[in-house]
Amino acid sequence: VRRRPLSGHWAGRAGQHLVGIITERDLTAAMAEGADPVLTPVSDYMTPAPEVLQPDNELADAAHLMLELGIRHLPIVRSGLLVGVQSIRDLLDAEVHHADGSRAG
Amino acid sequence: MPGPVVCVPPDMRLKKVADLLVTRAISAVPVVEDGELVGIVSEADLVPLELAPDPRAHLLPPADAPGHLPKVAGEAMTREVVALPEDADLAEAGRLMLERRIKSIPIVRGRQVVGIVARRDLLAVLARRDEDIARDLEALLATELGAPSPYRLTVQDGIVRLTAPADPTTRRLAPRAGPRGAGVVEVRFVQR
Repeated sequence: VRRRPLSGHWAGRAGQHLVGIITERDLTAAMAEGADPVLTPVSDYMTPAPEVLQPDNELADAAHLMLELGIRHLPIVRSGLLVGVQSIRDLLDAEVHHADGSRAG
Repeated sequence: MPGPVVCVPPDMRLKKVADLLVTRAISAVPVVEDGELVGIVSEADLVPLELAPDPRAHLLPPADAPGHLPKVAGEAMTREVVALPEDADLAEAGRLMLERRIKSIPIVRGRQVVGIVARRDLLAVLARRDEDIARDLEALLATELGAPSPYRLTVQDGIVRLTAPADPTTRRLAPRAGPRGAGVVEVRFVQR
């Protein structure tokens, strides 16, 4: 993965303090344990204080961190505030299109 | 796709499937019956089941509520599985994952599952370090041309620079060391 800037997508309200992250895998774990989806707070299954990226990190940093930790999402934080999320899909997208571009050119 | 593939039978309870996905840290598992691929269950198939209407919230179930929630793998699985043969290349797998918004692709020989490729596996290949790419390409050059090679090779950011005398051999090597080589973005030839 090449030295290019991060390109995370973020659909929620940015600029808030990050306290945790909850993903499909966490919801699957909740299901495996038979947690009641109505009564269980997300904090029971989120990863608190997750690993994060800075906006000036490179895609390569994101890729290596995801592979090392076996995770698919990394929040992007600036001065303690959430500004985005980088997903493994974004990285794959960047790679596939980059490879296409260099093959054509 | 290292190691044997984790597969489940159609009658495995979904709670057990969920547990398997979590403990093995995988996003999907092929469903296999009599040795043949019949479907795939992913986290994305399981999560909506948790959000099904809570029967306690209503005296009568809403009209559009499913009469029967899936309980086993065979009921929750996706039947139209996107799969690839063993000789498919990684770029094809990557494009399919993006286009179809899927996280893993079973690799099949006929209808038998022989492997599975996840986004993580593709990233691991694409994220190869320049030193590793250079080492492999140097080995390829040595195999093709014998050592010591007259070519000088550098890799930076996945871009391979091959400094070579004007020689048709370099043309022959191009497709083999090209962008399809693991982690290679581009090969540039520099004529000495």
